[in-house]
Amino acid sequence: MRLPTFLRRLFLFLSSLALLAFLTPAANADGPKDAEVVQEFFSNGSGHTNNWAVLVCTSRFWFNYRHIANTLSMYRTVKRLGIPDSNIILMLGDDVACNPRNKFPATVFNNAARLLDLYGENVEVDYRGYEVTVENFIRMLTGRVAADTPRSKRLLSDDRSNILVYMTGHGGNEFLKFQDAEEISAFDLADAFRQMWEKRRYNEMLFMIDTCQANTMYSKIMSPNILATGSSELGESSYSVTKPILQHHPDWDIGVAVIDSYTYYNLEFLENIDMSSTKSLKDLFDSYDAEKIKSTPGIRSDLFRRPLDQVRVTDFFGSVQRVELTPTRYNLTAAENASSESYLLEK
Amino acid sequence: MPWKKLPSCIILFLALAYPVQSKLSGQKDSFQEDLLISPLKDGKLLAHFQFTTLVDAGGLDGKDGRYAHYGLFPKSIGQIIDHHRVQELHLTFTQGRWQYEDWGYPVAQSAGTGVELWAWMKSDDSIESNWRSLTNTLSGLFCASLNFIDDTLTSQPELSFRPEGAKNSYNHNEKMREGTEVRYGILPHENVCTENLTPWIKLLPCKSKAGIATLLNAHKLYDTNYHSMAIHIRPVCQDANCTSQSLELVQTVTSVLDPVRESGRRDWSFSSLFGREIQSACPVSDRSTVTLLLPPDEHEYQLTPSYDTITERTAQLERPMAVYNLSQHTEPLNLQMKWNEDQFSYPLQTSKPRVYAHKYMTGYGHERGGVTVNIFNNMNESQDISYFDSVPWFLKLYLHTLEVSVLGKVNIQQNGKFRAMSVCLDKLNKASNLGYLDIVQDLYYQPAVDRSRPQVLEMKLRLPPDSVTAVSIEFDKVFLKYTEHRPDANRGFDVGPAVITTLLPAGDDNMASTVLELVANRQVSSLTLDTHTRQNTKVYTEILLASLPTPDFSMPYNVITLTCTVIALFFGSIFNLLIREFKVTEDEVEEKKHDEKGDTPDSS
Repeated sequence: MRLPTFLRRLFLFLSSLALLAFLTPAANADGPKDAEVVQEFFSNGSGHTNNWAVLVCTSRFWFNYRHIANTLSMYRTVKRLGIPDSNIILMLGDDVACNPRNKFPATVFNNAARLLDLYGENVEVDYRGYEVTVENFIRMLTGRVAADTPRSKRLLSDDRSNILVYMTGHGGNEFLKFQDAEEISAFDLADAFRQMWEKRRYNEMLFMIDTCQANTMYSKIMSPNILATGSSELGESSYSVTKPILQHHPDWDIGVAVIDSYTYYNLEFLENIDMSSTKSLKDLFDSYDAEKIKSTPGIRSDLFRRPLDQVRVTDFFGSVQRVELTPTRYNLTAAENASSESYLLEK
Repeated sequence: MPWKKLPSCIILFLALAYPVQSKLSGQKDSFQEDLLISPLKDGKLLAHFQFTTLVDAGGLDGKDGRYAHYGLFPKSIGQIIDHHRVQELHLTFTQGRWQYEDWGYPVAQSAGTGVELWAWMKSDDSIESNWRSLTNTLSGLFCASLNFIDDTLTSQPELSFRPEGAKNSYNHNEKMREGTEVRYGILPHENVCTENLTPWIKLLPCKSKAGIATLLNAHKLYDTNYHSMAIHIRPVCQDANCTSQSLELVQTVTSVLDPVRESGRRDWSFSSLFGREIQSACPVSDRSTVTLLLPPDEHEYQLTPSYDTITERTAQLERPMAVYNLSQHTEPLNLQMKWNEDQFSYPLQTSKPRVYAHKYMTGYGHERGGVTVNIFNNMNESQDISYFDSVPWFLKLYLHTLEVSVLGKVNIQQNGKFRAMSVCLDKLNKASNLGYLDIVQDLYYQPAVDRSRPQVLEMKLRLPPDSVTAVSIEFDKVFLKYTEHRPDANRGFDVGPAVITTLLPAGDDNMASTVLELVANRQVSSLTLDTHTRQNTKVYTEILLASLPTPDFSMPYNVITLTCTVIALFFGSIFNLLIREFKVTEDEVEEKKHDEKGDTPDSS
C-alpha cells in the first residue's frame, strides 16, 4: 500500500533528523580525551603559537656601522619570514642611515656591492640612541617597564611565545658593552632569562650573539628551553668582512666595514629560507665554517629539550603557525594540574 | 515564475541598502592635499607638502562625548588627543636650519632643529601625568625618543606659543581658552630618519599609495639641506562668528632641495627631485593640487606640462602662481622646469627679511659663559616681538647680567660707523631722550631648579626701526655627577633655540604662506586670514652646543688600580719589616759540614 504523500514526506523528514542526530558528534565529548588531543597538538613540535624577536645593537658611533647593519639584516630576515613589526623590538644604539657621514642617505647596506638597502621604506625602531641602555633592555625582557611605556616598546610575550634574542656589539669575557658607557654581564643576562622563565614569558628562546668572545656570554644561562649560539670562543675576536675576498671587498665609499662575518654567513643561509621551508637549525649550525667566519662559533643546546634536527628555522626566525584541521570540536578548559610541565633544574 | 522577479528584488535591495550604507560611512570629514613648489633666491627649491583633514565638531563623538567614529581622521591620533585631553597639538621633526636671510619665511610655522612638541591641554589635576603619558605615547607612535621630554625639559610659556586654533587669542577673545594650559618641550639633538616618516605617512588616508604623498621618498627627502615634518592639530572655526567648529589635522613636510648641487643648473623635475612621479590624485581627497610660484619673468624658464590655471601678479601676490589640479589629470604628472641659462650664478645682493635673529655663545672655558641673541629689525617702523628662551638647568643663568642693547643699524656697512648704546634694566623707568628705553615692555623669568626644571626667559620687546638689538645674559656651567653624562659625553649638551614671535603682514619674504592661503580660500573655509591682516610668525634661532666640564671616565679604574698597588706595596713592605726575620737554616750548616768532610750531600 502506498503511503499518502504527506506521511511519506513526514517519514523522510523524521528519518533524516535521526540520521543527523546520530552522525553529529555531541558538543561535549569526553573531557580528558579532549585534553589529550589538545596537549598532543601543543607538544608535537615546539608548541609555540606566536613569535617575538628582540634585536639589539649596543654600539654607538659611525665606525660601528657594521653592528647596525648586522641588526638590520636580522630585522629584515625576520620580517621577511613573517614576524610583524608589533612583535619585533628593535634597539639601535645609533642612527647611521641619516647620519651626516653617510654618503647614501636613509640607506644601510650589508654588502660592499650595495645590492640591498636594509632600511627601506618601512622600518620601525623601538629604542634608539640614548634609550638603548642595560636598564631598558632588562626591563623590557622581564616586563617590569614604567607605566607610561608605549606598547611598541613592550615585550608582550606569553608562555607560548618563541623568542629570538639577537645581540651584537663589542664584548669580552662574560660581558657586553652598551654604548661605550656601561656593560651587561653574562650573569645579568642569565638572571633576566631566569625571571622570564619564572614569569612564563617564553616557550623557547634562541639566543644569538655576535661579538668578540661571544660564547662566554651564554655560559651562565640556566633556564630551560634556551638554545644559544655565539660567534667566537673565549680569547677570540669576531671579525668583520673587510679582507678582500673574491665576492666582496671593503666598501670604500662608506669607509667602514659593513657587516660581521658570523652574521654574514648566517644570512647566506637564511636568505635561502622562505616561510614554507622545513630546514632545521641543525642545517643552519652545520653550515657554520670556522675558517670562513674566522672564529669558532659555538652552540649550547644542553638546556634545550628538543633535538636540533627537529627544530625548524622558522620556529624562531619566522612566524609560521602550526595549523591542524580537525573534523570535531574541542572544548579547551584549564588543566587540573596547571603546572604539568615542571622542569627540574639540574644546576 | 519566482526567478523573473529576481532582478527587481535585487535592485530594490540595493536601492534600500545604499542610503543606509552611506549614512553609516558618510562622515562629515574632508581631506585636501597640496604641494607648493617655489624657486628660492639662491637657486634652491622649496617643496612644501600639506595634507589637511577636517572633521566637524561632534563628527568623531561617540557616547559619553569621547571620540569613537573615525573616517578619514586617523584613529591613532584621535585616541591620543582624546585620552590625554589635548585641545591643540604641534609636533615638528626638523633637521637643518631654516636660513631666513636667504629663503625668507617658511610656509608653515617652522621649528628649530630637533623635535619640538607643544600642546594646549585641559588643566585639571592630571595634566602633569597626561603630559608625561602624551610624550611617551607619541614616542611609541613616531619611533622617536620623545619620552626624554620630562620635567627637566618642559616649560610653560606665558607670552609665546598662544593657541593657533579657533581659540586663537589674536583673533578671538581670550576667555575661550580658559581651562587649558600650555606645555612646551624640545629635543635639539634628536635625529630624524625613515622610521619617523613611516608612521607619519600611515596617518594619511591614501598613505603613500596614491596622491601627492607618493613623492615622499625617504632617500631623497633626507638628502636635502633642510627638511621638517610636522603634525598640527587644532580646532578651527567654520565661519567668522565661530558658530560651528571643526577639528583640523594638518600634516606638512617642508624641504629645501638643491638641484644646483647635482648639475650646476637650476633645472628640476619630479623624477630628479623625488625619483618618482605623481600617478594620480588621492581618490578620497576633495582637492589635490600642485601649486608653483613662478619667477617674475616668463622668458627665463620653460615649464612642462602646461599649467591648468594661473593667477597673475596682484598687489598681494608678487609673482604669478600656476596651479595643477590633479583630480582632472588622467596621466601621471612629472612636472619639469628648465631655466634658460648656462649655469646658475648666485645673486650677490639679496634682500633681507624683516625680522630675524641669530643666537651664539660667548665666553671661554668650562666654568662660565654667556649667550647672546641678535635680533634684526629690517623695517622702518618699530616692531613688537615676544622673545622666548628655555635654557636647561645645567647652565645657570644670572638675571642681573641680562642686558638688552641696541647695536646699530641693520645694514651696518652702509653707515660705516658702529654706534652702540647700552641700556640696563634698572634704567628702564628713567625717561630719556634717547628713545630706546622702552625696548623691554615685559619680562617673565622662571629660575631653574637643579635636575628638576629649566629656566625660562620671556620678554616683550619693542624693536626700534632699522636696528640690531642684542639680548645677552651670562651663566655658570654646572659640574655634573659622572652618572649624568651621556654615553658620548665629550660631545656636549644641546641647548634649544630662542623663539621670536611677531605679527607681520604678508610680504615679499612671506609669499609662500600667502599662496597657500589663497589656494585654500578658493575651496574650503578654514581659519583663513585675510592677506592684509598680520600673521603670527615665529622665527627660530640656531641651537647651541654647550660643552660642560667632562671628567675622565677612565679615572675611577686607574685610581682603584693605583691605590690598590700602593696599598699592597706599603702594607707588604711594613709587614715584612715588622715580621720578617733572617735565620740561618740547618740545611746550610750541614752542607758546610759535609763539604768539609768531603761527602756527597743528602738529596732529601
